[in-house]
Amino acid sequence: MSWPLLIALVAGCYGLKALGVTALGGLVERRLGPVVTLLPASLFTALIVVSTFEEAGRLVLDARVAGVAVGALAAWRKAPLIVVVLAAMAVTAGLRTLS
Amino acid sequence: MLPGAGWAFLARAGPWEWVVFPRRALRIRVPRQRATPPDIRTRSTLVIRGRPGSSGQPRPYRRDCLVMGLAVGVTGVTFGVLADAAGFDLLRVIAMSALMFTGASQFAVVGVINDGGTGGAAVGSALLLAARNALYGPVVRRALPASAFARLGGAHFVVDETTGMAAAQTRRRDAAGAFWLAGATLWLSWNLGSVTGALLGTVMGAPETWGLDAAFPAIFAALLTGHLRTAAGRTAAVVAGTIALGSVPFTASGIPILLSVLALPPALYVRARRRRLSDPENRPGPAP
Repeated sequence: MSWPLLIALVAGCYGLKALGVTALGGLVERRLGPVVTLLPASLFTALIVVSTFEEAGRLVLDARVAGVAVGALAAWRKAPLIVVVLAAMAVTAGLRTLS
Repeated sequence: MLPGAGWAFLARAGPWEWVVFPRRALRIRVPRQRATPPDIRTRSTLVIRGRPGSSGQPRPYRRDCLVMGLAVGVTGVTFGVLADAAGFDLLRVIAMSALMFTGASQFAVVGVINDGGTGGAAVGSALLLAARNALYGPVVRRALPASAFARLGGAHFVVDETTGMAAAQTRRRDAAGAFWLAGATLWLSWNLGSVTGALLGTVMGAPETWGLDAAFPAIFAALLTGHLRTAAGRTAAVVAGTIALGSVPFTASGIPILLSVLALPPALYVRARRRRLSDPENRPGPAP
């Protein structure tokens, strides 16, 4: 990848972030106030779903799903983050070793 | 679009205990037990405090940042390894991790190039994935300083993890602390990790072997729990999850997360309805 392209990529990524905290953020705050408190619930759920079930543009059910489910259960039971992460990794890795 | 929106409506004390502060007041430390809004007509920033009785402890963000930093650092190593395998030199890896600093997009670039795609295609899919960072802006705004200059500096750190950490805090002061600590920790660990990976190459096995791919969604499950306390939050989550599941097979990566904002209107509807029901005027039975 050429340097000009890489620089354009860096600029684009930063531009999107900056747009969010300045113009877009201000607009949402002014016009759609309550949306801000509900945005994390929708964005993060979508992020979880995609990173749990997506594999190269397709939905898959594999060991990762079981690991995330155990992690989510631990999170729901208010376990510390380290426990959540290790439980998810352990279950996923364990299932992969077994299969 | 917003049923019954308007600040006066929002500020009405319901089971959600919205606390509305005028923007000036936000610069000082927010007192813990402030109950009623000082002035509901002032244009303001919202701080959600959760239901009375279930607000609980704020997430211990210092420890969480450390755990997240470790996981992200290891992911950074795998990024470095993949970038090295795709033919990126060390300087480019450093430039990407330090300046792009948005993991999903970086993985996309490396993946497209590795599969023989053009630079343009790599940039396109990376920007599509980075577009969600723009949607995080409104969420983290309350954690950022008021000055435009500092805000633009903070913008560099607006990614999934920092937004998740900031949004998981109930108090604005904690949100700011969590954002900056997570930003600094992640930036350091991500860069250290990717340089290590680029230098070590393929010494370490596939990250899937030890289940690293499950760590990321699990972290977000933990950060999400606080947002599921209200009916509106749960509605937003269920609808967004369904939208994401349904759109993954048909859309380019990055799009499903952007589409999840379509979950907001039903969530707002549920919120407005709950609010109406909890209003004493609309409750069945004799008025108090």
